[in-house]
Amino acid sequence: MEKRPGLAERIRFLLRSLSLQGSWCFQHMQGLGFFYILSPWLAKLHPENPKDSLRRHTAFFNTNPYMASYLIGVVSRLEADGRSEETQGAKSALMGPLGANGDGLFWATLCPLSAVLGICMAFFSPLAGILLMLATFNAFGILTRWKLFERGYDGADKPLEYIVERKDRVLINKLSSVLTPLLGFLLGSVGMKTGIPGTVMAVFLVALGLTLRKQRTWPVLWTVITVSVLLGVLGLRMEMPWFPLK
Amino acid sequence: MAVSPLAVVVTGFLGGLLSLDRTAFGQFLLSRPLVSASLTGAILGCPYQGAFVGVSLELLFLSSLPVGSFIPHHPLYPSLVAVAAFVALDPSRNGWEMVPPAILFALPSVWADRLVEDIWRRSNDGLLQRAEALIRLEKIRLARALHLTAILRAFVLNTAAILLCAATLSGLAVLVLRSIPSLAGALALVGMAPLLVGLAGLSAAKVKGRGWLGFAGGLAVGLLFWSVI
Amino acid sequence: MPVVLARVDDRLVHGQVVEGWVPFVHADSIYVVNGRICEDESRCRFMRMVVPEHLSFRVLAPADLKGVLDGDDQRKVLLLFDSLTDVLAAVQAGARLMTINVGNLHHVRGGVEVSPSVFLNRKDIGVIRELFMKGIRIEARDVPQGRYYDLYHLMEEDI
Repeated sequence: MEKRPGLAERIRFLLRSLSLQGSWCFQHMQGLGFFYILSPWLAKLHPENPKDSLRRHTAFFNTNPYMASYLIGVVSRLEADGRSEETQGAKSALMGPLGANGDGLFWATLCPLSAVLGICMAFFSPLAGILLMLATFNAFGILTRWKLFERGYDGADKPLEYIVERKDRVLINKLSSVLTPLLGFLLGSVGMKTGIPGTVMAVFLVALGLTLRKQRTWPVLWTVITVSVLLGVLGLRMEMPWFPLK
Repeated sequence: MAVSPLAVVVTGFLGGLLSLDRTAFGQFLLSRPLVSASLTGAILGCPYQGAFVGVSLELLFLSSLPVGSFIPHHPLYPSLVAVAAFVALDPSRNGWEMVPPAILFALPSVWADRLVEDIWRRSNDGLLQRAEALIRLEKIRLARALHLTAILRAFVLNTAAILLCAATLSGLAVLVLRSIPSLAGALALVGMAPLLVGLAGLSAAKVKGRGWLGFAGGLAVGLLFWSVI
Repeated sequence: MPVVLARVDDRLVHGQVVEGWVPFVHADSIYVVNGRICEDESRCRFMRMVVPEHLSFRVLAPADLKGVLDGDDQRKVLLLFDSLTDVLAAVQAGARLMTINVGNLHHVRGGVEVSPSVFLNRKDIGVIRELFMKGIRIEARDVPQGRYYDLYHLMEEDI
């Protein structure tokens, strides 16, 4: 415990962890990034012979960039306690689950949620919208990176415990239930602001939704663009500018 | 109507910086179009049009996400190129009729984005072996520096690619719209397409089961809210 | 039980499966087919934690797959294998699979690169040829929107 990283050290860990994907490659993915984040710590722990410990952490590594902080914490604690033989096991057991939960939380839920929030706000003021989007997402992002490092460092004895608690999945469900009403609100707003009749839009959207069930966005987009060009050639217009509210 | 070299250069360098946020450094969402297009628009003197481009592309690309090792279509290039193309198409920078054509002509750059990301990722392939060799020689600082060179390379590659995309695509837009001036009017509705396709795609992916109740509720509130205001 | 996707992925349950494929194929259960993991109870329970709770989850041995698939259960299942050998074992035990999706088979195993995330060694290619002989289609693709690689050309090449 006497080696617990101080505030300055933890801030440096946070800053370095921002560049985890800085040298992403298909062979070792975030392997070199993980080495980069840990190397000053390892060099400090083993000032006489850092080579062996450093070479342990140049292996394949890939997980969600925000949640990776948990593993960084776990590994730096295990190394500090001289239990380096356990690090590889912890890494390979946790990379997948942290990646699954992290991608679900950050990319599939928080990213759309903060963007939709930002767009709703942008109807009133684009600047406020952008700030809201960045603040919502990064409050979670930076807090996760900070808290999970500590959590990993303190809970390195039972690294799997964090996944077993399922906190991430509970959070994903809660945030998703906020996202759907917002999507509805946004749809209504776009309809009202463009002056397109609600029923036309509803039919259009149901048709689009059905074709998009298989998530093939590109063919649908090109079809819609072609149709709207044809309508435009026929003389149909929408209200421009409709954004933002002035 | 003319391509402004200064606007293209500004777009390129700004794009190079913002592209780092996407994979290499940070992931603060600065590379999402709502932020990047508005920022470019603000710098180039058309903040509202920039924000409009941002909202459209943000919605269109919300359902394609970076999962695991997969490189998705990312809207950073189109969002920057669209603003540069708008500036080229409308030098006064306060009209609206050139916004939809600018978005449309910028869309193909999404493939350049993906290509460059792939090239960059592959260019990092041998780095780890070189780092291991350096560690064996106890040159740890150099091994760490290798990681940073990859970030620098991402900046250089993306800046060059966005410069190229902005110059060619806005040049193409100017050329086409000069020879067929009536096209701008015909393309007006296209401004809606990204918005609607994006909203529909995201709703199809995210709304299920009881979520439809909340969705309908939100829709009703949205319609009421704007008709009252 | 209808199989909506049979996938080979050395990382088993992770983001690409849970966020990418499950909504795409509308699966309502994930079954991991692996002899070693199904005997390790704590690992099974741990994997369950990563799967969203609205999906049912099970770990079973390759030999038991036939019995499960032939059952009356009508839930749509996404099967996960961690190697091609397990697929062959399941097929030889009588499980009927039509197509196999190869998601991630990683670099550290060595071999030829057929897509950025799939590397095949001699043994894998032997297995793939055997599966082709049984009329099973094999493709390499990491996520639904990703690029698609047909592996049929491996039949002809000398490796």
